[in-house]
Amino acid sequence: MRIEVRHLARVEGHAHLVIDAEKGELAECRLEIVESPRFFEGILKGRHYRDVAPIVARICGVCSNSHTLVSLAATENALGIAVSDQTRSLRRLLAYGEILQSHILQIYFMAVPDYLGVASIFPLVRSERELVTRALRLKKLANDICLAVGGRPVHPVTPCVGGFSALPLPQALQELRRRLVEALPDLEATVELFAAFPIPEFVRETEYISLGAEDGYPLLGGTLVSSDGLCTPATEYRTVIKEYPVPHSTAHFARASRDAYMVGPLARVRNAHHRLSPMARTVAGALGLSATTANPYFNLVARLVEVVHCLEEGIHLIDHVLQDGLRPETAPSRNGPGRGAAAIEAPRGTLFHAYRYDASGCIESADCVIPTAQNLGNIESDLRALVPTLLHLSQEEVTKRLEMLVRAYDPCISCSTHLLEVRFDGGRGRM
Amino acid sequence: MRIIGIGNPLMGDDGIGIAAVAALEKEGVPEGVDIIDGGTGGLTLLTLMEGAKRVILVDAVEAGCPPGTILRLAGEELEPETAASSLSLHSGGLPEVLALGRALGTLPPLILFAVQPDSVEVRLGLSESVAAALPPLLALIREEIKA
Repeated sequence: MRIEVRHLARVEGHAHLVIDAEKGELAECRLEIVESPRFFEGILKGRHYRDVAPIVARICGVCSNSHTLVSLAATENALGIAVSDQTRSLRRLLAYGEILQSHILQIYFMAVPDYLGVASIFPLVRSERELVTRALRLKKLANDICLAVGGRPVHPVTPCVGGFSALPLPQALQELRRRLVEALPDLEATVELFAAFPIPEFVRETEYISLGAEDGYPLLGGTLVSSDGLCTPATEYRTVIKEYPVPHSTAHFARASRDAYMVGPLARVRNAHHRLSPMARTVAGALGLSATTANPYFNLVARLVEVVHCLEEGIHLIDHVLQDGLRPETAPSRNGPGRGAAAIEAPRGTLFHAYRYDASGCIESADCVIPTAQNLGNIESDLRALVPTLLHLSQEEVTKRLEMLVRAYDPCISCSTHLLEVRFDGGRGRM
Repeated sequence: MRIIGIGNPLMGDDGIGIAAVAALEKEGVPEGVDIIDGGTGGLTLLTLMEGAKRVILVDAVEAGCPPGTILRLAGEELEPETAASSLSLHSGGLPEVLALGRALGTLPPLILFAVQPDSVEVRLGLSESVAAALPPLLALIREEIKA
């Protein structure tokens, strides 16, 4: 008996491109990748506010902490619950742990194979073993930040409405700090590796949206800002972000001031370059990333710069928390009614949640907009502008460049690996 | 020994692995047994297994059997057939994780308890047939712990 071992129910995506080789343009582009979860409201309706965050934590295994933290903030806004400085610091540390987890995975397991010219990480296990074990070492460290602060390596259990149900032990934080410092040589080796990679040249300016940098590098801020001058309370995201259907995709696209916009690492670095940690700013400079970089491929570099930032700031956050001393806090008990929204900078960009609670503190309505869905329109605009510039290359190279562009956005789907279908119509030999 | 549940409880029967580890955690396990909720963490699973002497994975698996069927897979039965190039780490397929662990030589001895789901769709809670498989599944895991 042959048994097929296949994991079920993971998000599946599909990207399909058709290039008209005669005209040298993108004839069809279908990014049927991912949608903001349509089931979101259905699954939350009637749930008590204490149960909401543990449910949304399951939406995504990679962004589980981000969903949890933004959900808690939205509920706290809805019910008028204030959180302490200690809670804010620990939440930032937890969010940095998740950004590290996700970014390290993307830069090493998705991007490195592209730039070293291999199909996947597998050939590198033999040829570049130190590189692969370094990646896993960094990944494990990031997991352990989430474990120490969130109580679990993947779906967190300690963050709750009003604060934390259990605090990390000071010894655990001291141990984490020691390991973060110890990881600096691994970080240096990572920067050296990426400094040698030729990032493809392509410039297309767009609108860059992120949360504001009023209390540090954008994370759980109260304002939504953009390079086009947008500055609005993040809770009012629905008034500036318009989702609209497109005929060629089942997913909705999103726009703000222009037809499309970008969220994620490059948007954050552009909008808050001055709030990067000193080491992260130095690395950005050395790798040619600035507050005006308009090459979407540089999302990869921005991701690496954020890894440096999260690690360096993680050390300072732990110092800050330990210096102040961890104090147990009692979460306040509230009822509704109330409505509130919140936003967080998840690894891939700005993530929004909004809830309306009834008088007994149960969900009446809920809304969620995820980063990848916001980037779809911008990815398509990039692809349209990029294709005509690649005409001199072989079809194989064109396909690779297009795949790398989609992957630079780190869409939360399997098509960020090698599922991008590219068909060339009417081409002879080269395009 | 580590017992790791995998899956998504928002997707009906895909949550059987999580339901199993939650039940074990509640009932208690002997000292030296770690219970881990692996959720849908993808490649994180590899680091969760690292350093363990023995790992029991619990997951929903489409095996073409009647719903609620429990399969015990070990050794070669867990050899992935998927091509390495289809690696999709963010979506986190178990075959890819096992293939990478095997290539690195870091996989501990592994047993997978696989449960055939009835329905995998957006829903909290297990279907009747899969919920009925939970007690025998827990009994099998407890036997394995003793072994």
